[in-house]
Amino acid sequence: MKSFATVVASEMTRMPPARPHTYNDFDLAAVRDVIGERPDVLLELVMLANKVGGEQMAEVNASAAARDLARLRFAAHNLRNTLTFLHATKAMAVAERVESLATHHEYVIPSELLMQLNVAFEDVLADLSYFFQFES
Amino acid sequence: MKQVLIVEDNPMNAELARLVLSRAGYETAVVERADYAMDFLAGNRVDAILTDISMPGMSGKEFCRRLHEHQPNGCPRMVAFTAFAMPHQRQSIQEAGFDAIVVKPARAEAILNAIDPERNLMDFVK
Repeated sequence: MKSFATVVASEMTRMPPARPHTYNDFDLAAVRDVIGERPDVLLELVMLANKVGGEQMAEVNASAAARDLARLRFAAHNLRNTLTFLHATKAMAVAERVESLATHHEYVIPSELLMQLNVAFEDVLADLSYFFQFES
Repeated sequence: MKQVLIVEDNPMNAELARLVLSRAGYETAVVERADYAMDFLAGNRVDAILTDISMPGMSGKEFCRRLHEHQPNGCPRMVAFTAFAMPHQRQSIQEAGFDAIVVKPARAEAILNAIDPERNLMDFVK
Protein backbone atom coordinates (compact mmCIF):
# COMPACT_ATOMS: atom_id res chain seq x y z
CA MET A 1 0.00 0.00 0.00
CA LYS A 2 1.24 3.48 -0.89
CA SER A 3 1.87 5.81 1.96
CA PHE A 4 0.03 9.12 2.03
CA ALA A 5 3.28 10.95 1.38
CA THR A 6 3.96 8.85 -1.73
CA VAL A 7 0.49 9.47 -3.10
CA VAL A 8 0.73 13.20 -2.44
CA ALA A 9 4.18 13.36 -4.06
CA SER A 10 3.00 11.52 -7.18
CA GLU A 11 -0.08 13.73 -7.44
CA MET A 12 2.08 16.82 -7.10
CA THR A 13 4.26 15.82 -10.05
CA ARG A 14 1.14 15.78 -12.23
CA MET A 15 -0.33 18.99 -10.92
CA PRO A 16 0.25 22.30 -12.71
CA PRO A 17 2.16 24.90 -10.74
CA ALA A 18 0.09 26.60 -8.06
CA ARG A 19 0.94 30.12 -9.21
CA PRO A 20 1.18 31.46 -12.76
CA HIS A 21 4.71 30.96 -14.02
CA THR A 22 6.78 34.05 -14.73
CA TYR A 23 9.22 33.61 -17.57
CA ASN A 24 12.71 35.07 -17.20
CA ASP A 25 13.04 36.29 -20.74
CA PHE A 26 10.41 34.81 -23.05
CA ASP A 27 7.24 36.73 -23.82
CA LEU A 28 4.83 33.94 -24.68
CA ALA A 29 1.88 36.33 -24.98
CA ALA A 30 3.76 38.47 -27.50
CA VAL A 31 4.77 35.42 -29.55
CA ARG A 32 1.17 34.18 -29.50
CA ASP A 33 0.08 37.61 -30.68
CA VAL A 34 2.44 37.37 -33.66
CA ILE A 35 1.38 33.87 -34.66
CA GLY A 36 -2.36 34.25 -34.18
CA GLU A 37 -4.73 31.41 -33.35
CA ARG A 38 -2.48 28.58 -34.46
CA PRO A 39 -1.00 26.65 -31.52
CA ASP A 40 0.54 24.13 -33.95
CA VAL A 41 2.48 26.89 -35.70
CA LEU A 42 3.48 28.37 -32.35
CA LEU A 43 4.85 25.04 -31.14
CA GLU A 44 6.78 24.35 -34.36
CA LEU A 45 8.37 27.79 -34.31
CA VAL A 46 9.32 27.67 -30.63
CA MET A 47 10.84 24.21 -31.20
CA LEU A 48 12.82 25.62 -34.12
CA ALA A 49 13.94 28.63 -32.05
CA ASN A 50 15.11 26.24 -29.33
CA LYS A 51 17.12 24.21 -31.85
CA VAL A 52 18.63 26.96 -33.99
CA GLY A 53 19.16 29.26 -31.00
CA GLY A 54 21.45 26.65 -29.43
CA GLU A 55 23.37 26.27 -32.68
CA GLN A 56 23.65 30.04 -33.07
CA MET A 57 24.89 30.50 -29.49
CA ALA A 58 27.57 27.84 -30.11
CA GLU A 59 28.56 29.63 -33.33
CA VAL A 60 28.88 32.95 -31.45
CA ASN A 61 31.21 31.31 -28.94
CA ALA A 62 33.27 29.54 -31.61
CA SER A 63 33.68 32.62 -33.79
CA ALA A 64 34.60 34.79 -30.78
CA ALA A 65 37.23 32.21 -29.73
CA ALA A 66 38.60 32.26 -33.29
CA ARG A 67 38.53 36.11 -33.28
CA ASP A 68 36.76 35.97 -36.63
CA LEU A 69 34.79 39.22 -36.58
CA ALA A 70 32.85 38.75 -39.81
CA ARG A 71 31.72 35.32 -38.65
CA LEU A 72 30.93 36.63 -35.16
CA ARG A 73 28.86 39.50 -36.54
CA PHE A 74 26.80 37.13 -38.67
CA ALA A 75 26.39 34.63 -35.79
CA ALA A 76 25.32 37.33 -33.30
CA HIS A 77 22.94 38.80 -35.87
CA ASN A 78 21.28 35.44 -36.44
CA LEU A 79 21.03 34.76 -32.71
CA ARG A 80 19.52 38.20 -32.17
CA ASN A 81 16.94 37.44 -34.86
CA THR A 82 15.91 34.24 -33.09
CA LEU A 83 15.74 36.04 -29.73
CA THR A 84 13.63 38.75 -31.36
CA PHE A 85 11.12 36.12 -32.41
CA LEU A 86 10.94 34.92 -28.77
CA HIS A 87 10.65 38.53 -27.57
CA ALA A 88 13.58 37.70 -25.27
CA THR A 89 14.49 41.34 -24.76
CA LYS A 90 17.30 40.93 -22.21
CA ALA A 91 19.27 38.37 -24.22
CA MET A 92 18.46 40.23 -27.42
CA ALA A 93 20.05 43.43 -26.09
CA VAL A 94 23.27 41.58 -25.21
CA ALA A 95 23.40 39.87 -28.62
CA GLU A 96 22.89 43.25 -30.26
CA ARG A 97 25.85 44.65 -28.28
CA VAL A 98 28.09 41.76 -29.42
CA GLU A 99 26.95 42.27 -33.02
CA SER A 100 27.65 45.98 -32.79
CA LEU A 101 31.17 45.47 -31.40
CA ALA A 102 31.95 42.95 -34.13
CA THR A 103 30.56 45.31 -36.78
CA HIS A 104 32.74 48.14 -35.58
CA HIS A 105 35.84 45.94 -35.66
CA GLU A 106 36.55 45.71 -31.97
CA TYR A 107 39.21 43.04 -32.03
CA VAL A 108 38.61 41.87 -28.51
CA ILE A 109 35.05 41.11 -27.50
CA PRO A 110 34.99 41.41 -23.68
CA SER A 111 34.75 37.96 -22.14
CA GLU A 112 32.31 39.39 -19.57
CA LEU A 113 29.95 40.32 -22.40
CA LEU A 114 30.12 36.85 -23.91
CA MET A 115 29.54 35.36 -20.47
CA GLN A 116 26.57 37.68 -20.02
CA LEU A 117 25.15 36.53 -23.36
CA ASN A 118 25.59 32.86 -22.46
CA VAL A 119 23.89 33.38 -19.08
CA ALA A 120 21.03 35.34 -20.66
CA PHE A 121 20.61 32.62 -23.28
CA GLU A 122 20.53 29.93 -20.57
CA ASP A 123 17.61 31.82 -19.00
CA VAL A 124 15.79 31.71 -22.32
CA LEU A 125 16.46 27.98 -22.66
CA ALA A 126 15.09 27.42 -19.14
CA ASP A 127 11.96 29.31 -20.16
CA LEU A 128 11.56 27.23 -23.30
CA SER A 129 12.01 24.07 -21.27
CA TYR A 130 9.14 25.17 -19.01
CA PHE A 131 7.04 26.02 -22.07
CA PHE A 132 7.56 22.57 -23.61
CA GLN A 133 6.80 20.86 -20.32
CA PHE A 134 3.71 22.77 -19.24
CA GLU A 135 2.34 25.06 -21.91
CA SER A 136 2.73 23.38 -25.30
CA MET B 1 -3.14 27.03 -55.40
CA LYS B 2 -1.09 30.22 -55.37
CA GLN B 3 2.66 29.88 -55.14
CA VAL B 4 4.94 32.05 -53.06
CA LEU B 5 8.73 32.15 -53.15
CA ILE B 6 10.36 33.11 -49.84
CA VAL B 7 13.87 34.55 -50.10
CA GLU B 8 15.34 34.73 -46.60
CA ASP B 9 18.69 33.72 -45.13
CA ASN B 10 17.58 33.63 -41.50
CA PRO B 11 16.02 30.25 -40.60
CA MET B 12 13.56 31.66 -38.03
CA ASN B 13 12.14 34.26 -40.38
CA ALA B 14 12.04 31.83 -43.29
CA GLU B 15 10.23 29.20 -41.24
CA LEU B 16 7.78 31.72 -39.77
CA ALA B 17 6.83 32.88 -43.27
CA ARG B 18 6.73 29.34 -44.66
CA LEU B 19 4.49 28.00 -41.90
CA VAL B 20 2.12 30.97 -41.97
CA LEU B 21 1.75 30.86 -45.75
CA SER B 22 1.54 27.10 -46.09
CA ARG B 23 -1.09 26.82 -43.32
CA ALA B 24 -3.10 29.48 -45.15
CA GLY B 25 -3.10 27.31 -48.27
CA TYR B 26 -0.19 28.66 -50.29
CA GLU B 27 2.41 26.48 -51.93
CA THR B 28 5.80 27.75 -50.80
CA ALA B 29 9.45 27.43 -51.75
CA VAL B 30 12.32 28.85 -49.71
CA VAL B 31 15.76 29.94 -50.92
CA GLU B 32 18.46 31.64 -48.86
CA ARG B 33 19.80 34.13 -51.37
CA ALA B 34 18.55 36.34 -54.17
CA ASP B 35 20.85 34.78 -56.77
CA TYR B 36 19.41 31.36 -55.90
CA ALA B 37 15.96 32.91 -56.35
CA MET B 38 16.91 34.10 -59.86
CA ASP B 39 17.92 30.53 -60.70
CA PHE B 40 14.68 29.19 -59.22
CA LEU B 41 12.57 31.67 -61.21
CA ALA B 42 14.26 30.66 -64.45
CA GLY B 43 12.39 27.37 -64.23
CA ASN B 44 9.38 28.11 -62.03
CA ARG B 45 6.46 30.50 -62.04
CA VAL B 46 5.28 32.09 -58.78
CA ASP B 47 2.45 34.47 -57.92
CA ALA B 48 4.29 36.39 -55.20
CA ILE B 49 7.77 36.78 -53.73
CA LEU B 50 8.46 37.60 -50.10
CA THR B 51 12.09 38.66 -49.86
CA ASP B 52 14.49 39.82 -47.20
CA ILE B 53 16.34 43.04 -48.07
CA SER B 54 19.68 42.61 -46.31
CA MET B 55 21.17 39.30 -47.45
CA PRO B 56 24.62 38.01 -48.36
CA GLY B 57 25.29 38.67 -52.05
CA MET B 58 22.56 40.42 -54.02
CA SER B 59 20.30 42.62 -51.87
CA GLY B 60 16.52 42.34 -51.95
CA LYS B 61 16.28 45.75 -53.64
CA GLU B 62 18.68 44.75 -56.42
CA PHE B 63 16.78 41.48 -56.83
CA CYS B 64 13.51 43.40 -57.23
CA ARG B 65 15.00 45.81 -59.78
CA ARG B 66 16.40 42.93 -61.84
CA LEU B 67 13.08 41.11 -61.85
CA HIS B 68 11.29 44.20 -63.12
CA GLU B 69 13.89 44.54 -65.87
CA HIS B 70 13.56 40.94 -66.94
CA GLN B 71 9.81 40.65 -66.55
CA PRO B 72 8.39 44.17 -67.11
CA ASN B 73 4.87 42.90 -67.79
CA GLY B 74 4.67 39.78 -65.70
CA CYS B 75 6.55 40.45 -62.48
CA PRO B 76 5.06 38.58 -59.50
CA ARG B 77 3.76 40.58 -56.55
CA MET B 78 6.88 41.73 -54.70
CA VAL B 79 6.82 41.97 -50.91
CA ALA B 80 9.83 43.23 -48.93
CA PHE B 81 10.38 41.41 -45.61
CA THR B 82 12.63 43.68 -43.63
CA ALA B 83 13.63 45.20 -40.32
CA PHE B 84 14.28 48.53 -42.12
CA ALA B 85 11.34 50.58 -40.92
CA MET B 86 12.57 54.19 -41.09
CA PRO B 87 10.70 56.42 -43.59
CA HIS B 88 13.72 56.93 -45.88
CA GLN B 89 14.39 53.18 -45.85
CA ARG B 90 10.78 52.41 -46.74
CA GLN B 91 10.90 54.95 -49.55
CA SER B 92 14.03 53.40 -51.01
CA ILE B 93 12.38 49.96 -50.85
CA GLN B 94 9.28 51.25 -52.64
CA GLU B 95 11.45 52.92 -55.29
CA ALA B 96 13.05 49.56 -56.02
CA GLY B 97 9.63 48.37 -57.21
CA PHE B 98 8.10 46.56 -54.26
CA ASP B 99 4.31 46.32 -53.98
CA ALA B 100 4.26 45.98 -50.18
CA ILE B 101 6.54 45.99 -47.15
CA VAL B 102 6.31 43.71 -44.10
CA VAL B 103 8.36 44.95 -41.17
CA LYS B 104 10.02 42.39 -38.88
CA PRO B 105 9.16 41.12 -36.37
CA ALA B 106 6.06 40.48 -38.43
CA ARG B 107 2.66 39.29 -37.37
CA ALA B 108 1.16 36.40 -39.32
CA GLU B 109 -1.71 38.56 -40.54
CA ALA B 110 0.71 41.21 -41.84
CA ILE B 111 2.48 38.61 -43.99
CA LEU B 112 -0.81 37.24 -45.36
CA ASN B 113 -2.23 40.67 -46.00
CA ALA B 114 0.87 41.79 -47.88
CA ILE B 115 0.92 38.70 -50.08
CA ASP B 116 -2.76 39.03 -50.97
CA PRO B 117 -4.62 42.04 -49.55
CA GLU B 118 -7.96 40.66 -50.77
CA ARG B 119 -7.65 37.27 -49.15
CA ASN B 120 -9.71 36.35 -46.15
CA LEU B 121 -7.34 36.17 -43.18
CA MET B 122 -9.58 33.61 -41.55
CA ASP B 123 -8.09 31.04 -43.97
CA PHE B 124 -5.12 30.90 -41.63
CA VAL B 125 -7.15 30.38 -38.47
CA LYS B 126 -8.13 26.80 -37.75
